[in-house]
Amino acid sequence: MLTYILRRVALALSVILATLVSTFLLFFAGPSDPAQAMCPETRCNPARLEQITKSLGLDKPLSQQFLEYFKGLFVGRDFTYAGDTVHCGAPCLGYSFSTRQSVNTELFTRFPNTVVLALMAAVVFVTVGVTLGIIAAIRRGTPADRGIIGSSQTFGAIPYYVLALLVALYPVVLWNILPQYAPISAGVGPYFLGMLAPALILGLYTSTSYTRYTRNSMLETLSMDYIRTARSKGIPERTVLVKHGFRAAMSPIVTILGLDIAALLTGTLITEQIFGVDGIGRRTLAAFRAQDLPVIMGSVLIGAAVVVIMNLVVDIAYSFIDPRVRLQ
Amino acid sequence: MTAQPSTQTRAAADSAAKPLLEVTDLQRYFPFREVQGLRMVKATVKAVDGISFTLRQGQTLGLVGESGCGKSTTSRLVTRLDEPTAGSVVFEGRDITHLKEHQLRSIRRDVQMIFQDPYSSLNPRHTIGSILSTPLKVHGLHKGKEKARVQELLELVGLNPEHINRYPSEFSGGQRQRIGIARALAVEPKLIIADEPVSALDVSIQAQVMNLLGKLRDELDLAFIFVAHDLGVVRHFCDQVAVMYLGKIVEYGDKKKIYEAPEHPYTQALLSAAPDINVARGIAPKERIRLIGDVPSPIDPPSGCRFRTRCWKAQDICAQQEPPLATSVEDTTSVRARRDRGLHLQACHFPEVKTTLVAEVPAEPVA
Amino acid sequence: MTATANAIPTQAAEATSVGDVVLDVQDLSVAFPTEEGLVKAVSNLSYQARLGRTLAIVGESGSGKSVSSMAVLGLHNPKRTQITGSIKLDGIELVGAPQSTFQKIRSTKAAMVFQDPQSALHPFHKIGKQIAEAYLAHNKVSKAVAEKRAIEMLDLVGIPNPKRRALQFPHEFSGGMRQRAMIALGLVNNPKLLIADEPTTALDVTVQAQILDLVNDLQKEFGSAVILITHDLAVVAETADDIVVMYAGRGVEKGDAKEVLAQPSHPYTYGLLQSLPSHSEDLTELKAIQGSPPSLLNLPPGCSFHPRCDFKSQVPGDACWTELPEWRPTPGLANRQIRCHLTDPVGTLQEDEGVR
Repeated sequence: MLTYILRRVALALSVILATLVSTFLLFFAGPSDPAQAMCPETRCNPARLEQITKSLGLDKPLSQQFLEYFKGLFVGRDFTYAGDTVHCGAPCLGYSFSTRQSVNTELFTRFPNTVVLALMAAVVFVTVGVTLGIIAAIRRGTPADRGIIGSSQTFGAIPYYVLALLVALYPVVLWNILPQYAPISAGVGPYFLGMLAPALILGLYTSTSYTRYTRNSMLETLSMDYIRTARSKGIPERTVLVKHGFRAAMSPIVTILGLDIAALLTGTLITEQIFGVDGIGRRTLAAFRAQDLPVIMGSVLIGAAVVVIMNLVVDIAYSFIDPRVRLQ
Repeated sequence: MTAQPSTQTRAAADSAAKPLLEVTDLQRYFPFREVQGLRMVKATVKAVDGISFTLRQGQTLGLVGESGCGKSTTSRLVTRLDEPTAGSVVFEGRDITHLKEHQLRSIRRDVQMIFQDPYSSLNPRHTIGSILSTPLKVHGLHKGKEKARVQELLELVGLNPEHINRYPSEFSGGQRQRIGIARALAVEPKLIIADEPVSALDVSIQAQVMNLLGKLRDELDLAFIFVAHDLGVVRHFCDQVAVMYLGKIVEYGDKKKIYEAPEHPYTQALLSAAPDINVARGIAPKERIRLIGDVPSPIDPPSGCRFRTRCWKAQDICAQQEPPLATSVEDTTSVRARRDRGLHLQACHFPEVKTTLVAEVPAEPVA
Repeated sequence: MTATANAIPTQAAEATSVGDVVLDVQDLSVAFPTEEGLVKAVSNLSYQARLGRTLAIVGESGSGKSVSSMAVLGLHNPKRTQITGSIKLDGIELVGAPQSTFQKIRSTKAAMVFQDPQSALHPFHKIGKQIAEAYLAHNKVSKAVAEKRAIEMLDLVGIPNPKRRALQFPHEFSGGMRQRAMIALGLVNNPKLLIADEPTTALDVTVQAQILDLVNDLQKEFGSAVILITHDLAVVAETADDIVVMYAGRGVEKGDAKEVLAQPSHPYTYGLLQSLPSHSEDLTELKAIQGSPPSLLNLPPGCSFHPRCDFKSQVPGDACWTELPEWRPTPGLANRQIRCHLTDPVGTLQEDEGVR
């Protein structure tokens, strides 16, 4: 187990490194020029442009830029800006081109908002999706089953941003049933209440696919020979369903769940944008607009780390659920 | 004797000709890595570990043994669906052991396979016509007349040629197996490897398919390697039988010898374990040899003789020395007599030799 | 040995000694409605299983041999199955019985061993726990007692190191060991009837012999009735006392197992025996039954076997095509029943064997 985790961590680090290098290269391969973007339109002249380029460190060769960035991740680095030298401690993600703020601060103050949103949504889609899926599977072929599957398909067929916009507009803004987003500085209560609307809509929308996964997985499990064996023991049907059916049906769901949570942690972008949640997705979007390389690199790094970690968590969780799976 | 050669001696002369298939010391090891505590340990599954046999045109060799004995791996190696770790496979005098895929083209035509499961071995989205004409197109046979050939094939295996446009799902299990056979025959192979071809079929259907295979073998003079766990089916179909245990052939010989006078303890146990329908006719059930335990792991097979851990005859030498696959009879008889007697090899330190069999053969001086 | 927690009201005398009928199936029909129509899996089947005896139910795939015994344990989905007729297990009528009745009789009065022990055991639960669960369901004992009982059962079925093995998962067992564990699970509540559905089909021949020996030994020890569902006539010859041969959902011949196999009196039984390779090992051609079994959606009129029967021309008139043969004693044979229109089945089949 320990060797397994160590090997996986080594693998994870190389995946993250590869992601960073390719992001870096893609950025410069494209038609982006951060200095041009930052140069104030009215007062921009070649001298100023050059000055900005130099202050951002973009005049150095690519390899050196990347090495400095990479060095910053592990030992920190010094930045000279407007004559002052600032030390940025490891892991240093650099300074934003556009706001001149530390990327660490920019991203790590926003990341918790994304985490809270994603986890609240996950609670919603797991409970709603799995419960409905199991009811549909057990009541297979009945009106209850058809109702659940029909409505989840209809709901899931509407484009997400339309739904999210409708929720943001009607219950939140117009009817005031659900409170609007408030930063944590406004207090814990308002903060969580404000998260309710985005988390609900994101969770309910995602739950539609969980209803279908769970139903299929449960039906497949219930057709297994070992369920027949369990019934033939004379234990109550409830026990058959819960103890023998549920756990086996959930094992494939765990994999999807892990990857979905990872996806949400790195990109609840539409939700954040629509509900004004000050999360990492929204900040990254802004960074792309401003061609703000350090922030983009920072969020790619966080995203890659999240995906890699969730994969590891899923594999470990899987080995606990299914004794046949041995980590090696 | 007279100068006029009898049919028997002519047959003998034919069979002495170049063999169709020569397999020598064939090995297939599957390496894998395993975590033991904090260390990674390299281990090897010795699926097939040094087997040899030859097959001539029109001959049928049965490979029998229990699951994990390596019989299916052997069939994959002979067809070169898999590459041997060591040893050689010579087909019609050509060494095909390590040929690359593109060099195997002619072998793919000469050697065909029939699979166990008539459900999963046919693509459900293709019609029978397309399943059967694909191999023709691949090998450029019967150009322009593929359809006629497909219909001929369907007729050959006892299916209605008008069903050329039907899909596999419209056929029963037995019919699908006939389609599988037709597909194998499409390219006019010389050797057919049949991997458990009837074990997924019901008894009454099994007999139909066995009859079909027998008829085709005789009409088309095909050589067969017949992999099966059903000893009755092998006895019916094969001339030669190789009994495998843990990746090795433990006994090899003419069907009659193997079934009536098995010399290796494992063969004896295997034969005695098979239930006998004749018990119903009042024939006393044979003494059943009860083997203890399970087949050991092919990762770490027992030293010396691999069967020794379950053998009632095992002694110290069995753990120390691996018994070679050899004849148990001291060879004082002539070449001719030996040939008439048929080959019978076994790999055991303490084989059970029925001397009566030897005595049946009149000794003749070597010519 | 076992104390059943809930007594079940019985309508007839319970089977107690060797030869008593434990399971009495009368005129049982099982059908599954599907989109294409009604699949008649079992039609008008009758048989009895007796204490201390082994009844073999023999037939090819789709003959309904497993379906009828699944009905005994109520393992068909009641919403998607039509069951008529009567199944009396130890005096309790099971056709139309509520789930609560089935829950009580499962494992205590009748237990089942399935074909593939790999898929029949739960991959996530330890072997010992799986066995203990069945014991706990019917006995008011602590978990520790039930687990001790499970270890005893594993020991009984010949699993070495039962204490250690009880803590392992099914994938850590070999095929033969898994089937032993299944048998231990089946016998944990000392049922009067053990239904073994193709118990050795998925196993190697040397292991098959071990398992069949084990079932025979345990039957002698417990005196229970065994129903052996199989397609393998050789297994029947060596292990069964009585036999029912099924074809397309119906019984076609029944009687003493060895007698039936030695002298079949129904053309189907005869055909099955003739098609065995061991029957004609030195012949170049096996005597196959022509054609294939009919669809259960659309059974042929009259005798279901007539399209494949070589002897239908010997029946006067068109009875084979129009009339379903009823059970009747085979003329000239004691203790034998067939569903066949042949006037002298024994003579007809004997003559055929002589001709061939």
